Amino acid sequence: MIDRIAYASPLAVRHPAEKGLLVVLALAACLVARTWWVPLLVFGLMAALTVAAGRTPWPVYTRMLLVPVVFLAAGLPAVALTVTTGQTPEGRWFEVYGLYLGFTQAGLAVARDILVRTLGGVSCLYFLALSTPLPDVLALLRRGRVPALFLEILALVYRFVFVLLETALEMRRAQALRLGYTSLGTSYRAWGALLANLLLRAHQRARELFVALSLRGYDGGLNVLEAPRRLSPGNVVLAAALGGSLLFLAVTV
Amino acid sequence: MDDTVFELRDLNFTYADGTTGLRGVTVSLRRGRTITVLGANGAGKTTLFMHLVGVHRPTAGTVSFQGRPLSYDHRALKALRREVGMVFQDPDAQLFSASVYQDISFGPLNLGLPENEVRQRVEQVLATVGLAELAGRPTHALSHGEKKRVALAGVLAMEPKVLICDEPTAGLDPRGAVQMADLLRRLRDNGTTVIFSTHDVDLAWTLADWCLVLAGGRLVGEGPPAAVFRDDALLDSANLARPWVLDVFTDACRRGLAVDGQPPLTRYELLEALEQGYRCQNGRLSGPEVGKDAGETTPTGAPPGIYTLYQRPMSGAAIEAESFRRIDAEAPAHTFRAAEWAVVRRLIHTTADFGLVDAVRFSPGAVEAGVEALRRGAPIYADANMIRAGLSLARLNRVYASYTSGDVHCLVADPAVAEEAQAAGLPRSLFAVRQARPFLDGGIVLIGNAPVALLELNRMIREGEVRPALVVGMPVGFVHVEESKDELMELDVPWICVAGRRGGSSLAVAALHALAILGSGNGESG
Repeated sequence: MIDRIAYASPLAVRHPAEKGLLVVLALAACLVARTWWVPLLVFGLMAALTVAAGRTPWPVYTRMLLVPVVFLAAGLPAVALTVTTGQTPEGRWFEVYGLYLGFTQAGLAVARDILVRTLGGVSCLYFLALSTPLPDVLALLRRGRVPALFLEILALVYRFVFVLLETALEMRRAQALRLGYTSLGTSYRAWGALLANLLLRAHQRARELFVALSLRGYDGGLNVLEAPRRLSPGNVVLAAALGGSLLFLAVTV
Repeated sequence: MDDTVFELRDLNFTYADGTTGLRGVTVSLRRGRTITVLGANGAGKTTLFMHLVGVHRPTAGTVSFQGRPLSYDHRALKALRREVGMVFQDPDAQLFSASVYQDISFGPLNLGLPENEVRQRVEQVLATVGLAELAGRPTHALSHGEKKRVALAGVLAMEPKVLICDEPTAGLDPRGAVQMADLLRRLRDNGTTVIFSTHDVDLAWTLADWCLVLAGGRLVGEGPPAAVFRDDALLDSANLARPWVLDVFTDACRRGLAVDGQPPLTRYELLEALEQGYRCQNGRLSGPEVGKDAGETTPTGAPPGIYTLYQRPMSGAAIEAESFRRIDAEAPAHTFRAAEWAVVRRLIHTTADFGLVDAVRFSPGAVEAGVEALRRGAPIYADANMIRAGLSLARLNRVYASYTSGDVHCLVADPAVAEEAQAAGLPRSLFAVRQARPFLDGGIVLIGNAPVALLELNRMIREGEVRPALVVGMPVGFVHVEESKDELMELDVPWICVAGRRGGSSLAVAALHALAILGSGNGESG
């Protein structure tokens, strides 16, 4: 899903460095910001960019935002809530079995900061993920001196997740058509068979791939060239200006 | 040999689990050829390919590439794989990158080419396989056919001298299969040695110029497609069918709808062959004279319904002309003069027996002597009534208008002859010849049946009793026949003879007709 949107995005053809520059600066702004509204600004900007310029359908985008929101919903109350044995004058307190539960100004502030920082950060990553195909992201990481082995594994996983997924779905469908999932018992057995089979297939695929690659001169390194992308100086300046001013705001205010 | 790319000698291979892959495969593959490997599922096609690229090591036997046995160390394999590329049947087994561009760039980069050369090759090869617009699409979003083409492109970018394709059209839609075939054809035309396996016999038929047939790990046959695909037993042993073009052509030949010969490769060539067959039947191939002549026997008065029903005018002249054309085309080399050939050709036309080219003999000037005799209306003697019945007065009348049925004699059924023969206990034909003495001197004698008649005639000639203007000596059979002809060919009279056991009334008749046509000036010498 994310993959399809990324390839469909009008920003997909832009040089990954342009997008990377903006995201890195905005992300830094989120992290170093001392006020709560800078990360919120980052969030608003990134969301707008993703939906407006990147043409990500907004229902999809909001549904994706639910993921961090669920985590926040689970975690934030714990941060906001203070448990203590002695009341302090500020805040509101409830007494439970001799303990005091309550919200303090400081606790709420921390929770708020976490909320906006998270949203801001997530929006940055979403912007990158929804506008940049993975090979471009990898290219960016390679330029960032991330170890080649790590990137190769990432690339292979990315490629073969789709192959494996397709195989698994097909096998599951075939099992279902032969009534493999009609009762709990058959479901367990079908699942077991599916996973075992998938493992064998994956192993076989890996061996085939190794043979195929060595026929093309594989020598321990997956050397490839990226499709050429034009680096637009205007966009670089724009990204630097936008990200820079966010960072400036974060640092100074 | 210089142009041998791969030489396999007594190749045996057993898989680690004990399954036999190949048994005793010995074959050499020539450079520049397009070679197809045919065989049922599990026949060993892919196993064979794995040996060519050095993935499998033979359990016994050797694989040589360009005259040198393969060695399996890292560097030697690398050198081999620079020259020999292989495309797998399942593209997902080969495409490792999510980006089409990256995947194709992999091979050439491993060749150590500089970056801009690699980029050039990637773009060029994408254009070659017709996927330039797909460069930006992720691999997993491609259709099966597109993936197959990308997989091919990834190998082509390395510019191998030998390209091995495992089932290049398997799983493709008809259009995709045609595109793939076109691609392989272009590679072949550019001098790449293409080796491919397939179950698609039609593809093999149109594309390959050499076929290997595997069954159960053995090489059960090899040869040019025209030979392999006509060997029904071989096809059967490998679970193969005949290509449809060849199948239709063979049946068309059997039904006389096409002329057997070089089989057509494509639908277009098949249609041409059928069209040619159709024209032959209508006599349209033989030029304008035939068209003029055709009016003579074409049933112009026949109701148009019948005419259109059969769509085959079948004029006698047209059939004859076409028959002569084919005889001229197919006859073995000979040294007959034109007039003599006109006679021999008609004899072949009558019997469809090309062996006559070696059997027919003429005494010097025999044809001219015969024609001359016909022109002056010489009497004709036949040793069998069948000859008399077969002769066409119309034809004779074109040479000499006054020929009547009374000028063609046959005395075999004469009561006096029968009586004499009975009394002597000898064949009637012998006495018939004696009885015919008045017609023999200066006449034309046709012997198409009885060697005894010819022996008696020979005696009469030898002893000066008679001197015919021409003897057509064509008795047929096993007893006395050859001696009678040998004797005739020693005599000092004009003679036309079919040496050996061959002969017959129809031949004698045909010979005289040929002379009559020569004499009427209807030039068919050619």
